Amino acid sequence: MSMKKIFIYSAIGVLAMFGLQACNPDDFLDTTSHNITDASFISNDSTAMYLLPGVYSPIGWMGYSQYLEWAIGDVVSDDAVKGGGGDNDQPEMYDLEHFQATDATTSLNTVWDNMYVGINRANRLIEGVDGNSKVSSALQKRLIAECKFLRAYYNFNLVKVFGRIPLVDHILKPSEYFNPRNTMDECWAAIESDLKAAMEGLPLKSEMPSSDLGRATWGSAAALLTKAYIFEEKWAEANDLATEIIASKEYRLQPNYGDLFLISTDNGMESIFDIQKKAFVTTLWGDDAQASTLEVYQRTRWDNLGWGFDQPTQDLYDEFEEGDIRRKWTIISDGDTLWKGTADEEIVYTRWDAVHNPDAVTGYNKRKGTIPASQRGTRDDQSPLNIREIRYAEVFLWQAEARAHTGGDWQSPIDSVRYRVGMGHSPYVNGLTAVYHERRVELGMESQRYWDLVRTGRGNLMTGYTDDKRYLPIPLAQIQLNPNLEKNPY
Amino acid sequence: MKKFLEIVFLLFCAFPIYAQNNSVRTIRGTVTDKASGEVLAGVTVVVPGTSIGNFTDNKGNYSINVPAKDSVLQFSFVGYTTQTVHINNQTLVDVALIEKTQKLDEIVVVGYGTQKKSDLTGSISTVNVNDIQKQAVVSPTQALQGQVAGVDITSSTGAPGASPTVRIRGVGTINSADPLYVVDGMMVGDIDFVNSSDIESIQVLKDASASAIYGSRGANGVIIVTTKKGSKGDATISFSSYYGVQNAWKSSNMMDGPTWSYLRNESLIAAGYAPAIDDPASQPTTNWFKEICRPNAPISNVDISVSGGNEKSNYYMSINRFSQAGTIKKTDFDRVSFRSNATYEAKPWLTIGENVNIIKSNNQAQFEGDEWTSMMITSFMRDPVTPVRNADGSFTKSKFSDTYNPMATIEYTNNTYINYRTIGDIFANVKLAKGLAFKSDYFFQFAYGDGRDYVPVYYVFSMQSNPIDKLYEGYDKGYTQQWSNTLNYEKKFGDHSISFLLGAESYTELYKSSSITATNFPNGDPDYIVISNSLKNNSAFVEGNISEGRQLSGLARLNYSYKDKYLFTSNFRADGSSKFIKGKRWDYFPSFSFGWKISEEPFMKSISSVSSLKLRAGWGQIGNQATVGPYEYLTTASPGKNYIWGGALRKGYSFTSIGNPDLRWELTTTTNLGIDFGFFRDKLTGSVEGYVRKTSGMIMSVPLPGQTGVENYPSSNAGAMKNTGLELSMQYRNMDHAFNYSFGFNFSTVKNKVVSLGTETGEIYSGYFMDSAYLLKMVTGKPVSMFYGNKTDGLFQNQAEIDAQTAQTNVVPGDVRYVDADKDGKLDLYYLGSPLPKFTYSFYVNCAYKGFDLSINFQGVYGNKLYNGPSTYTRSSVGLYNLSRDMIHRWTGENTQFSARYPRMYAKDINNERYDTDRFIEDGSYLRVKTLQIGYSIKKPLLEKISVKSVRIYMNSQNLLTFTKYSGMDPEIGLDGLDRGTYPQARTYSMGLDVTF
Repeated sequence: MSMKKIFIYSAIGVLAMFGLQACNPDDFLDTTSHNITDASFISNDSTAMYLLPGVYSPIGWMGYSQYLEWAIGDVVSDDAVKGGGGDNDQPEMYDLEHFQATDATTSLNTVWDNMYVGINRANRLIEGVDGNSKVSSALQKRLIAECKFLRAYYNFNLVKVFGRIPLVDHILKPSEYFNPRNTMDECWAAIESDLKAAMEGLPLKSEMPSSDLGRATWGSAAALLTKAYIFEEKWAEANDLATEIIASKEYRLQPNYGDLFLISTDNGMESIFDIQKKAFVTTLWGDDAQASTLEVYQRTRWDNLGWGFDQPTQDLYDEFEEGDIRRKWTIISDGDTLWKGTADEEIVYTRWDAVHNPDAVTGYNKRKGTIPASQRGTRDDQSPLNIREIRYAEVFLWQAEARAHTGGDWQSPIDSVRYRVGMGHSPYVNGLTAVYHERRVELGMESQRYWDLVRTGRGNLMTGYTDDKRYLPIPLAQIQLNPNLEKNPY
Repeated sequence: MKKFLEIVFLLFCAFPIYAQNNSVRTIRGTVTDKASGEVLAGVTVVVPGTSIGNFTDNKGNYSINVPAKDSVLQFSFVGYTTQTVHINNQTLVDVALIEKTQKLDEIVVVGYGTQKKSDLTGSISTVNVNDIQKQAVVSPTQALQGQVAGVDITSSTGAPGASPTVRIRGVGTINSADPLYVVDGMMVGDIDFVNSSDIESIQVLKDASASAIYGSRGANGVIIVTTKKGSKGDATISFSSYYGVQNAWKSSNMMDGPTWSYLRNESLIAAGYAPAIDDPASQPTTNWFKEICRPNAPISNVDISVSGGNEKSNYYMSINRFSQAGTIKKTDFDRVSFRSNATYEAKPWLTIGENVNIIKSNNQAQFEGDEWTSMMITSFMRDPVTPVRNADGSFTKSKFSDTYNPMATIEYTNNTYINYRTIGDIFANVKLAKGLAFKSDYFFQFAYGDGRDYVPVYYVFSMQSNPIDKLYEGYDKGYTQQWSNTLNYEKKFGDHSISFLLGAESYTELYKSSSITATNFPNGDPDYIVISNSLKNNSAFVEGNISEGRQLSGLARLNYSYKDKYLFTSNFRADGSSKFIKGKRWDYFPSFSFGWKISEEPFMKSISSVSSLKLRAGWGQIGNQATVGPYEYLTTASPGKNYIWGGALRKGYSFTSIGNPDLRWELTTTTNLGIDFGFFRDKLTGSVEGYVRKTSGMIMSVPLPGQTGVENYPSSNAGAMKNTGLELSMQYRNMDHAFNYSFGFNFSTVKNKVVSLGTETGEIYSGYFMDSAYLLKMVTGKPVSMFYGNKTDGLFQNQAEIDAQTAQTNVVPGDVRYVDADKDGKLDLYYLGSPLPKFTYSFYVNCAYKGFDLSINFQGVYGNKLYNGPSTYTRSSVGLYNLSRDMIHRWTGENTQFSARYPRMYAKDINNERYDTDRFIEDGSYLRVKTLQIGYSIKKPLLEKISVKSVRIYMNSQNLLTFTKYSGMDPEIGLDGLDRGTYPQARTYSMGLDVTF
């Protein structure tokens, strides 16, 4: 062999070896994932905590608490009409309002998906920390309780909207993806058991450092469980638990009713569970967007600043007794002056111009949740006001309702609510009539009315309602994905 | 697999090298043109397989020293067919070269090598590079439109610098169906960086039997670009330049102020409201589309290249500047690039070379994607009564609607992207022995992008406002390296000839990006708007991303031919990818193809009109790995799942999907049958091809029931798709006379069918416009996407017609009637056509006479449907937004029934505005005069005195004429068929000059 040949041979050999990354080809193909996997994510208490915000976040999404809850609770009911910019502004809400929603109504599918995202995130965290030696037992207990509260909250919302649902209390295996709907009893049992477990593991609001304010408490779980008992017509249990909440002295009524829906009373003395809202960024979209669109939806369309939805009806207006200040804190009438004496003072026109605003249907706008212009986010469609999901006044009204059924003293709890607004005893002598009236005026425009009517058999107060309409259609998209889901008769 | 690689490695080392014999003899002769008999100067004469070569002198004479063992000489000359002559014992060899009219003898780049076109067995199309270089467009991809049967190019925007979508043989998958590009051997994602005039050749590998050598990256076809190299002889200096002006080829068809005012009032009155505009006749008109347009937007290009070489080396260098202003204000593109390559014969057995390409491009864009606020759609929607600016100079808010002011949008959009890119390679070619060569080629690419977007504080009205100024600066970096080592062996014995390729390749890519968005800048002075001046730089918003991919491959090809009549090719590639879980990383892609040159058979020799005829058949399997993301086999945490407590934002994570460890790449299996033919000494040539292309294991996110709570559906190999197609191309060339001409056409049709979508109910909805429901539906058994919705059946003319149906309530005469054929009281849903064309076609004519030349190219698409998004507003009954002039033909009473094509005006309408109906679906067929060019070349005798080789001046037009029934701004809107207010294609008139020295 000549030197040249040898040189060529070796040159090629070296080149070829480099070309093949002569080491083990599999090592060459090993690259690092820059995402953390489920197996390694929870390594200690603080990493476990990183999974908690995600379990909460769906409660604030636009689908339910910022849309469907009031679209059904207020607009479908006799308390409000859709409003907005004409019948074709939010046509789905128009359909809901006129009891002509279909299984193709996308907002229903969105809510179905959103609630189950919350449930799945709760299940992931529960299974991630439960018995995990890397997480302290105190934190395990708290996180599991918190997740169970949230899981119950998501289930409750689903049950309110759809009735029976498929219950999911663990990370599903592929063989369980197509489970059918459970019975109503099983649904309530699941909600009850989660809330009872949550009460065990959650701290009192008074024990909570201010840096945790907004997370679920013993009171949140107890109040939601009371509400479940009311829906289930378990009057004795409802009365007992409401009484226990009142006895805990954890909450007080806000002295001035008018202060209830101000940023300054967010997570305040009357608040049992608030959905947290803040305008951190200048957009409604993205992970850091935590503001609420509720206010821009309801604000009058005058000067195009608001969208003019959720307009209270004359019927609701007339429900208030003369002199009940709750009316003006619930309903804005044409020409009302808001924020008197402040820099934000403004006169609101709810029926200013029939030509340019042919859509001021009732001539009223919603007052609750309206905040001064200066407190809105940097864009005027972003409200940093918390959404009051459960407030203390309702605990009294649950207590009164339970007692009206069981023959107890329903007057005192109603009086507690009425005294705050300077009203004497209820003018109604029938306990249930008094409770129903009081709920309507105390909780007016707080997304309660529809469910109050249907659960008490008064759905016929709504034009177009039949008993088949109590639960909305199971979304077709879901039935197509899971043919085992039975339809609703809607 | 390891075994296979080891064998490859051993083979590399195992081939012996022959010693060379030193005795030589001298051969002389003259080379002439066979037709004219004139002598040819500058003809290359070489001894094939060696470095020995020479040129003919001015008298056509040559002399060359030939080693005793060699007995063959090869004569080649630009424009002539290369001839190989057996010299035997002669010392005087005269040769008459034949001018190239036989196209089939071209050398074609086939991936890791070349082949004679007449020996091809797979489906490989060669692009007429001359036609590409003629066009006044930014990239060779755009110029490819209409050039090759089966290659469909669609621009989704006419914005300057934008690259179009390329689909080879239809849409093979619902995932990335972009082809692979290979530039001088390097696998890249696009060819936008290549300057058209640097291109020597473009080949398109259309079927699996051709592209299987690219394995898991070849499923959507491969476009191989080879750039120009210097050739032996005097240096050639080329200068070419053009300058042109562009305009939107169509103006908008919107109403003027008075007409719109009448209709707006009419709609309000119909709904029982007072009219909104008191004196319609005296209303002014703002033509918003005209306002946003930049008339006569300039486009220009300058190329200078120098190339040359000698016996042992050659070089090519070029510099290019392209700049294009958009036909819409504040959209611009500018690119500077240079390219340099050289090869050196360092030793008789060693050739080395390099190739470097450096590019900088600068793009200023408007945001087109948003169908609510983009400057295009708002220019249609905004009422014509409102002026652009108020008396005080501020931008106007419309009194009638919330439509953005498009001029303000443009004013406040300051979005630029600068891209720097370096691509190059260095290679060595080692002749190991006769017929045996080794090549090692190392490629790298470094790309750096620099994006900037500054939004100042402004307030037009509440929705169109920005209270806090913000600056986005984003950077992205991509680094790719590829090392290819190949061994080529060629051998002819008797009637058999064989060539064999064996190779190994490694490929690494790394991509990183990061961005910062900072707010609150102290003043509006542009010089001060840098991140560090942000008053809130401690709370800037940052994002970042990183991804890495590696691939290791072994490849092989065998070509065998018998008697030069029966041809066989087989490709094989093994690919390992880092995207998959260990143990499932490797896959193998084979192909086989056969060719039969029927015209070489004795029984064909008597049919003199048939100059060539070849039958080809092929089968192959290839992968599509572009559709798989890395690490999809893992369940990973996603950030951004945030909530608030204690008044502070709590950042969190969640597991939004489920990893799928079984994930594989998609597999495409193609069967191809083709006939190539040439008649009358190949004046008429063409080919017909038919194919079936099946994609299996198509990666889909199969939707899971909502109750699983899975937010992002995991990918799985669940779907299947099938494309069946036919391609036809023909050209006729006659260069025999002073008036010479050529013409031809390309035609292709693809039938696409979704075979499986993974689930039994298998339906995927996609594509919506503004508030609409999904407009496109994908189901098994139909083409990949179909418009889906209600059918219209004219307008209700009277109450009797309304009473005759039950499906629509709250309608009155003048409203749209929808079809309820089964009379069940519910509107029926129909498939309303596909955005995929039934066929695409192109044709061209080139001719030349005494220095004048003319060429014209037509390109067309037939049978596709488009959703005219803007018309949902511009043909609205409500009339809140400006209306198309078509609405003059609205219904105004029963007696208008014969001219009324559009429903009545009605401010409270909810019936006529249904989005998902065929009312807004239109025929998207079009035929375009893509290029028209007239040129004149100055005669040689005049030039020789000033030592100029050639001068040509020309006038060119792009998109001169468009024939279409589509009523939107442009029928070419991208593959999804949804017109969201597309930036229209420009019509360009330019003048150019080409000079070679």
